[in-house]
This record gives sequence, C-alpha cells and structure tokens, in this order.
Amino acid sequence: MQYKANNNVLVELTGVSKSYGKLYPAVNAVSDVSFVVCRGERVALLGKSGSGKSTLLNLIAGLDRPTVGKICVSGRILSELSAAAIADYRRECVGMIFQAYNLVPWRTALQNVELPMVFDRRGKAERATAAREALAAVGLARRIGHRPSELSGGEQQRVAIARALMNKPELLLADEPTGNLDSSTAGEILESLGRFTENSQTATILVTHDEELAYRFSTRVLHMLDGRLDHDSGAGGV
Amino acid sequence: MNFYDIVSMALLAIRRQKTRAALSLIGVVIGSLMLLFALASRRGVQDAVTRVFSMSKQMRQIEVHQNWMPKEVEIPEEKLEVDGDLDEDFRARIRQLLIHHWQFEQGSEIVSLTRERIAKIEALAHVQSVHPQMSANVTLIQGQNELQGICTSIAADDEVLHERILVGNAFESDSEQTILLNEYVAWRWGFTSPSQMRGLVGTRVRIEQRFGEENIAHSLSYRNGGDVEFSKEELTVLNRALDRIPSMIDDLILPEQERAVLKKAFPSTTAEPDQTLQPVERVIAEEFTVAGIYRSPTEAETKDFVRLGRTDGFAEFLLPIKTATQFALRNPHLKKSGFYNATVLVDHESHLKVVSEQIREMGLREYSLISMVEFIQKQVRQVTLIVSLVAIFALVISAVGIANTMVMSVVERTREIGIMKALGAREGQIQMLFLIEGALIGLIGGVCALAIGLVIRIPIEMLTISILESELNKTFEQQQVIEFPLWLLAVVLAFSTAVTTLATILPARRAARIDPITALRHD
Repeated sequence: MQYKANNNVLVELTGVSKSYGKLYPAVNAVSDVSFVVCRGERVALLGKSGSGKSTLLNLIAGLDRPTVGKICVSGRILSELSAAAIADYRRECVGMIFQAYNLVPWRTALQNVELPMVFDRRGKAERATAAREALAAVGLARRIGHRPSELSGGEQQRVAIARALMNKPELLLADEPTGNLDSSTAGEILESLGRFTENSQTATILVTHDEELAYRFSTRVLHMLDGRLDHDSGAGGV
Repeated sequence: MNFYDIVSMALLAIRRQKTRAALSLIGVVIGSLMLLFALASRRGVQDAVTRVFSMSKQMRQIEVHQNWMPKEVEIPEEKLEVDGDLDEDFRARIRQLLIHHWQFEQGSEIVSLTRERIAKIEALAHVQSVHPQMSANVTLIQGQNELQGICTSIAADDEVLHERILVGNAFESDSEQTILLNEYVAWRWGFTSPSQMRGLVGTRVRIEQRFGEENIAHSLSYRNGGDVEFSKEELTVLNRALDRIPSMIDDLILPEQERAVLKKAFPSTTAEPDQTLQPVERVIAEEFTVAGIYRSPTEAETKDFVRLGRTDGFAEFLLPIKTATQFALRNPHLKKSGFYNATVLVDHESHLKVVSEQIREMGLREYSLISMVEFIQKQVRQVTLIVSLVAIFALVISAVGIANTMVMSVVERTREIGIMKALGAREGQIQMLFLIEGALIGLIGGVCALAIGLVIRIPIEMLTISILESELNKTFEQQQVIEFPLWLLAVVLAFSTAVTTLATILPARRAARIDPITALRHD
C-alpha cells in the first residue's frame, strides 16, 4: 500500500508505541511518538540510555514492528509489509550504521562493503567497483583486503559507513556511531557522515546521548525521555 | 543474492570450519562409499556370474535323475485313527507319523528314465539332445591284462575331458567304437611313462559286463551278517545253483502256498527242463579301440564335478555317449527299468527353466546350474540389500551429525545472520545459504567417495573375484565385477547431497527466523 504524502516527507511516524513483555504491566519502550523527517534532513534523536531512542530507530529501520501506530517511509507503511518486503525495504531504502560496527569478522573490508549489493543480486564486477569506490571515498583504498580485526575502531566504522551507503539509501540510520570511538576519531566519523549526506536527498537519523554531538551534526534534535518525544528543537516540530 | 554468491558464501563458511566440516565429511564419505560399492557390485557380480557360466554349454544343461515317489495309495481312515485323550497338536503330530509309516510300508514307486520317458523329453520344445548316462561296473580285458572298474559315458565335445587327455585323443564323435582309459589302468598294466602309454593307444580291448550276480552276492553276504565274500568262481557256482531252482520247485515237498511263493521268486527261464542245467549267460561284451589315456580330475575339478552331478570323475573307463547307450541297453534289466540319469541339452539358457519344469512334472528329479546361478544372484541381492541399508544408516547417522553441526553453526553465526538481515537479506536467502552449505557437504563428500571408490575399485574387485573364484571354482579373469555406470555415480552423488540437505532444513529454517535485533545483540 502506498502512502499519499507530501513529496518532501520521507519518514512519518504517527502515534507509534512499542511495548515489550507479556506480563502486566508491559514495558513501554516507546510511547505515542509522532514526527516527520524530510528528504535530505539531518535529525538527531537525543536522550539518555533507556529513553527509547534505539528502539525507535529499529522501528524505523524495519528491524522491529510497532505495537501501536504507523510508520511510513518513502511511501511504504512498514507495519503492512511482508517479511520479504521489509527485507527489500531495508536493502533498498535504508543504510544502517551501528555503534559496534557490525562487520562480518571473516570477510575483508571490500567483501563487507559489497554485502548489501550481494543481497541486491548485483553482478560481481559492478559491486566490486562500487565497493572500491566507497572505500576510497572513506579513505580506506589501501585497506580493502583487510579483515575487521586488522582495522582500528575508526577504520571499521568508516567501512560500516561505506557499506551503509552502497545501495544509495534514501534514509541513513546511525545508532551511536561514535560511541566506541575517541573524540578525535568521532569527529572524523561525523565529518565523513556529513560529507556523504551533504548535497544529497538522503535523510539521516542519528541516535546519540551526546548533546554536543547531536547539535554539531544535525539540523534538528528530537529529545526523547522515557519513551516519549519530549521536545523537538528543530524546524520539523512535534 | 544470486546462486554463485550463495555457493561462494557457503564454501567460505565450510572453509572457516575446516575441522568440523572434515568430521562431517568423513561420515558422508563412508556412507557414500558403502552405497557405491554395494550398488556397483550387485549388478556386476550377477552379470559376471551369468557370463562365466554362459561361456560353456553348462548353462544349457539339465541333469535328470530317476526318482522315488511314495505310492499314491489311499490310506484307510482307521489306519490314521489316534486314540487317547491328547491335545490337538500332539494328535496332529502322531497322525503325520502314521501317514509316513503307511507310505513307508507301502513302498515307493520308481520313476525311472525309460526309453519312453527319454523319447518324451526329446520331444519337448527347445530340447536339443538327451544323453542317458551309463555308469556300470565292468571288466576290461586286454590279452592277459584284466581289470575291474567303473565305465561311464561322456560327450565327445566335453570341454573338461579335452583338458584331461594325457596321451592320444578324446572322442571325435559320440558313436565311435573307441574307449578312453584312466591313467590308473595304464599304471596297473605297467604302462608308466608317456611313451609306454602311447603304445596302449590304438590297441583293442574287450569290455564285459555281468549283471544279476553281484546282487545275489550282496544279498547273501548281508543275510549272513555282512562278513562273507565271494570270489568270481564262487559267484558263478552260486548263480548256476540259483538257475537250477525253478526246475526243482515241483520236486520239493512243500505246502502249495510256499511252492507258489518260490515259483514267484524263481520264474522258469526256459521251457526245456534238461537245459536248466546249463548256465544262463549273464554277460554282455564288446570290443573297443583305445583312443587315449586321461588323467584323474584335480581337486578343484572334483569339486566342480560333485556340484554338477558328473559321474566321470572317478571312472576308470570312458565310452562315447551313444556307443555307451547302445552297450548299456543290451543289459535286459536296464532295458526294462531305464537309466539312472541323463543329460538334457536345451537350445538356449532362457528355455532352461521351462524345460526343467516340464521334466519335473514327469516325476523325475532335475538339476541345472541355473538354480545355482539364481541362488548366487539371490545371495548377492540379499548382501547388497544389507550393505545398502547399512550405508543408508551410516549416511543418516552422519546427517544427524551434520544437523547438529549446523545447529551449532547457526548459534555461532547468529550475529552474522543479524547483520545480513539488517543489510536487507531475505529470510529465503538466509535459508538457502545454510541449505546450500549442507548440500555442498554432501556433494563434496559424495565426490570424495567417488574419487576414493575409483582408486580402490581395482583391489576391491580383485578381492571379490578371488572370493567368487574360490567359491564357484570358475575363472573370472577379464570379468568386470564392480561397474561404475554413470547413473550409479549420479545416484550416489544425488543421495549424499539429498541426505545432507535434508539434515540442514531445520537449522536453516531456524537461521532464517532469527530476530535481527536479538541477533545483533548476540556476542
């Protein structure tokens, strides 16, 4: 089902809640959250640990389904998609970056970056070329044959960024991407992220607990508190 | 994710777990090898056995023997009555014994190979020839030399006989007036070297067969406790005395009833009472030319002879089959009661069974190699079945091992599965990845088994041939008993692949259904 919306709106959350546990009372990780993210927008989800920001990111990524509410991304209502369609959505629309990098340890940097295109049934030559270019763009042209264990934390995260951008996603989701890095490397990573999304229609949602980082990177900050959207410091509004 | 990517990712996963994959492969290889050889040897051994026996005419021969059958006399019901308060099983067993005793008391009927029956067999469809076999105790005379021994008939084209000729030649036809002598005869008469034996070839010998005398001697010896032996002269005297009895019966002072019994036992052979004092001639004799000297069979040949029911193994003299038949039929007793056995040759081995059944229906006993070949083939089938079942069992066990390994692998690769899902891999792709991994283990195991099988085929074949040769006393040289046709290689590969793929279904489904969020948190 296609969702009729403003052409510029990429993500729209309406009354989204997520609760866990079968016993009463259930744990409400996210409660009644609604907001929109436009194309090319850089949004930070800011909040303390347990505020529900990562859960919200997973819901937008299609890794989890909301208990109540509707999430619409690029015309797709996620709760109405089949498992296969959700997989296609993640592959075609979303690029994900994790705090723990989540690189496959026994694959080289090049092979890790190729993965999204592998699932997209692209030819070997095409994806190898694209992966080399992506790695070169993040400054890792000389490390393509290295495995994650042979790379530093910053390098691993840059490989993850290259991988996230391989299928040219409309939406980039980053969950504490600098959480495991020192401040200098964290700055470099954010700079990389900013460079890739600048002048493009790719919207970015960054999850962080670091207020300074949130304001430095994004044009809009959504404050999460106890699973609720506390306030929106940017132009989008709640 | 295209097929090439799935295969290369699966291969990479196998390579990462070398030890585990190697252990899984061992089970697959053993099971596949067993299956390969069980199926390869089944057809090969059966065909080789049939080929080897078909090379000679033995596969077209039926040995027919006279038979004893219980007389078909109706048993009076009172003879089968079982008195007493018995349980039913006990009563049934006693009744069965009463039937046996009755049949034994009534005697049995001999279904012999009379000339009429031989003619009837000859008239059967697909029968090429019927050769009655003569086997008689005769006396061979050459000048002053005389020797008693067994004389047997043999076909001129007998393959084994040609191999046994030491001096001279085998028979050229089945009806020539020649004789072959065992080396034992030559030795007894002092012809010990080959050149001396050659001197015996071409000479004339006389065969005498006496009938009716030995039986009298045997009966009297038995009646007297078995210790009495009669010389040839004494036997002549005894027979002359017996010949006189018919003319003396009327003069004996006996009750009429006993006189009648005696007359039944000693029927008068001549109408002239004065001639009864002359000895009755019970000898048939003929002269033959010695064609050659033959050796006794080797131990292996003897085994074969016993199996085939051949009677020429220990015979001192051999006559061509038709000549022997004519000679034997001069014996009035044999003329009346028929031969003990005969060899029937059919036009093709495929007709052996039909002809055998028809002969059996005549009440005669028959034996042919086809029953032995069928027995061997049945045994081969049974052994194959057992080995195949063990092979399948081994493959199933290894499949269970593979399933266990794959479950472990899924657990270990949970995070990787989560990453793949987060990057957009479909459940079907993840499932296919594990299924292909399982299939590759089966395929690699199957290929290894085929490669090992091709290498060890020759020693296994040599071992199989040596067992077959020692069991069947046949040469299997240049026979391929283990065959690897393409379909068999395909079946083994398909089976090993299918088993390991099936073993991976559950772990693969489990992998596909892993929750990505949980998987990404997995260490």
